[in-house]
Amino acid sequence: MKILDTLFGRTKAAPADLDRLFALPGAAVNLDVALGLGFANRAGVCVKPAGNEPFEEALNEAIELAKLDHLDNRIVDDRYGYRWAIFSGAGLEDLVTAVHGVNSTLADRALGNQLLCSAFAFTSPKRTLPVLLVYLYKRGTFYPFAPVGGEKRDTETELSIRAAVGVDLPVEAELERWFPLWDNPLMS
Amino acid sequence: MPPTRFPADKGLSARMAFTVFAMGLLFVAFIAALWALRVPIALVVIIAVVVVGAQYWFADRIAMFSMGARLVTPEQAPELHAVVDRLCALANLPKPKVAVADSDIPNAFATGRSQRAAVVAVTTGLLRRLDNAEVEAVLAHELSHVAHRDVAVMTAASILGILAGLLTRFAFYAGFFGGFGGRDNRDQEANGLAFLAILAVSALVYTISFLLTRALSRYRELAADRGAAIVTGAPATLASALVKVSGEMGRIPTQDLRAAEHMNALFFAPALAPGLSLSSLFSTHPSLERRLDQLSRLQNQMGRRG
Repeated sequence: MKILDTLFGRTKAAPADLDRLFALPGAAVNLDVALGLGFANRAGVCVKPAGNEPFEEALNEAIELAKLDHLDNRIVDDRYGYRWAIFSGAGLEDLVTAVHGVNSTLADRALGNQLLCSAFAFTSPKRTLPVLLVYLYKRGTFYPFAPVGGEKRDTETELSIRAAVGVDLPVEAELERWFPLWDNPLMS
Repeated sequence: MPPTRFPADKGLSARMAFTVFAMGLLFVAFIAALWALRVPIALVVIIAVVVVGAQYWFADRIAMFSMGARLVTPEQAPELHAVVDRLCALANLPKPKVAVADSDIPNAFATGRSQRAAVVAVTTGLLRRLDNAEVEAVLAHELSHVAHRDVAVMTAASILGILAGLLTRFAFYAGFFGGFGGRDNRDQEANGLAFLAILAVSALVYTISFLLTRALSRYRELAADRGAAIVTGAPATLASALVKVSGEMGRIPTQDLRAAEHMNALFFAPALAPGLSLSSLFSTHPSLERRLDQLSRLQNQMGRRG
């Protein structure tokens, strides 16, 4: 099938393995033990708005379905034209479920192409800015992002995080894909 | 460059001298072989000299064009110019032109046909990843290349390879179109063999000179590292800059995910297998370990002198 795809120039969307999200609580324990990073009770899903009615409906419905009674949520549009659905006010298991819900609802509606990533914020007393564990929807892998302000990132910490959670989580092997998310709504 | 307080690195100088000697020997052997085969050398040499001359004269423009670098004035990049000014004062060099290339890959280069017509360039990716002291160390490395006249040295070294390459091509086409004619069978055979011989010798010379040129390039890189360490007095800073730029950290991007999203959609290209790399013989730069080794030895020497 792959050869035929190449010959005919067909791009297949990579199958997402959303269940990998559920490995996060286990990995979070290692993060805490190894690096003192605790979950900041904030997570978000980043989507590219398709600019039409069906998409808006689907997104709103996904958020409604996903959030439990005691979850706060807000929608933020960032300066790149992407939309964030931010969930907060609950522990990691609940937020993982919420994020997983949004992702799978959109994927079931064949809107998986609009999904960019999901991110979970971790903090420690030593750091001014939170560290994000980013889940790339299309790759099905995680990577860390540790900004230190002014569009600089703390790559040593990121590589340490990779070492700490690499056993539990599928970490993105290609470092070239560890794209930063400057100025995103999960920072505050 | 000011006279140095540090003992010369005899090993490095010896290796460089041997490499240059071997290339000179090769050049002589090549000319002798050509003369024995009765090839009109004059034409080939003239063409090679013209090509190499043009490449040398326009070295700075060629390099800047291929890297996408633009010259910047002191008003456009005051900090960068300030660092270059300080280094030129320390190293007693005329100030080169300064350029910036807009690329996320951290990189820096120096080019130009002479110390007075030199250009030093950095990429925006490098400026984003390194702090000021490390940028200074990298610029000192590049200025050492300018001070050591590396463009001229490497151009001269590459002449042999270019000559051999040209001759290989001439011999091939000449043999193909005309060399296999001749009035009778014996002439034909002799001509054909002669051209095959030229082809074989040229190819061999080209290969050997290629490997020697690469070796020389690696030694010049180590010499530039050494020059940078001496001028800045801080080998550890250059070491940390090298690690940040050439190690794993250099591969982590600084471009936002949302800006790069169009790339994410296409996953057809498999990554090269980890561990796949050019043979060290072919590399123009010494390995990171070797460079860090030299820098830590310099650091120890500086420590001893206080």
